[in-house]
Amino acid sequence: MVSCAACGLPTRVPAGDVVAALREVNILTVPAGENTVRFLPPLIISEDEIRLAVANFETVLDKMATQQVQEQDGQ
Amino acid sequence: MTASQPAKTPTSAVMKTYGRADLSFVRGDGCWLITDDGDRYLDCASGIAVNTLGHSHPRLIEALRDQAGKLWHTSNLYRIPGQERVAEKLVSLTGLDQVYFCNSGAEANESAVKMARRAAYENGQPDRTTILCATGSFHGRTLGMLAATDKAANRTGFGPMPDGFEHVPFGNLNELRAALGAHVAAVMIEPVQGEGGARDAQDDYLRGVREAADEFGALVIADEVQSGIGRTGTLFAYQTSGIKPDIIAMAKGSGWRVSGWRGDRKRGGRQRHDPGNAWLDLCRQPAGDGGGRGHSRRGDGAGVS
Repeated sequence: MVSCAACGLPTRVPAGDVVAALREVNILTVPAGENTVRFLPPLIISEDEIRLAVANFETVLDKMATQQVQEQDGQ
Repeated sequence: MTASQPAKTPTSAVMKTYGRADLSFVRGDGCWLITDDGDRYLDCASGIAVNTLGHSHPRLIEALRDQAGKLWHTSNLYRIPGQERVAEKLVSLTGLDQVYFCNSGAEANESAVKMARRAAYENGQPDRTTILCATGSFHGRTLGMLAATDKAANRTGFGPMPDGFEHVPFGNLNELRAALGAHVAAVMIEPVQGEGGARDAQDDYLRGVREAADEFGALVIADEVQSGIGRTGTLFAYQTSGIKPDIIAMAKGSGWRVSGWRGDRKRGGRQRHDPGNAWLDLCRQPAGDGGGRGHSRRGDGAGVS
């Protein structure tokens, strides 16, 4: 799926962790399988709302990546 | 019901069958859900691809209120004019012949399986009963769909499973062709596997499925419960491949739970509809048509508003 109304994005961390992290910044998504995050917004979503979701997604991933590096450095 | 263990200390009267987040909403507004504390969440889940028109769409509310004030339910003992209008609209949008209305995506899939088997039976092939499904598939959690769904964990404790469901590797035409035979009633495919990880069936694969099914006398069931009703950019995900399924199962985004039966397998001579843009245009309108539940009068007015 490549359309923005139906994105399934594979992740290297458990999808549930990403979904939970997005929920913390007030973005609701759905996991699928082990490592896929699904974005399934209403089809009336605006471009501004899409940009908001994408921006928060990037922030969440950056934060998770930083935490992962810190945990690895701490080992 | 899932196969997960029930809670040892239940906190509510609702049976614990889902892994729910500790979050609840009291109001929806467009693409936003709001808690009783007033926190707003951007809804990129849509109730798992259900709320295509978002929350509190004014046209949908108006249509539902109007119908609710008239008549709620009369059953299938009588004709339902609104249901007939919804069916006509679906047929005009999809090129299907007829529509069967039910109550969930799993029911739509169950009825698709029954249709395929009954079609073979009425064609004098009562032994053509097997439904070929794909690895990684998800078709629902009713007993029949637990057998069709490729997830053993979902079946734990609910057996014995119904007979007549086999699985072939998703995306592999060679394995599909090897499994096809005079015993196969239908191939059941999600053009995009949702629960299985948002995996796309490539157009070449779908065309190969259609070709192989035709060669071996089987029907093609497109499970568009999650991928349908504009979710992937066309009205149905299969449409980018150019194939025509024999049966389409749809639910979620339509607000209806239907199996569309494309009873006529002769594809020549039929005027090809181009339904793809019609529904998407409705969604793009600020106050476009609402989709209601077509199986009771309560939804019929909304379904054709």
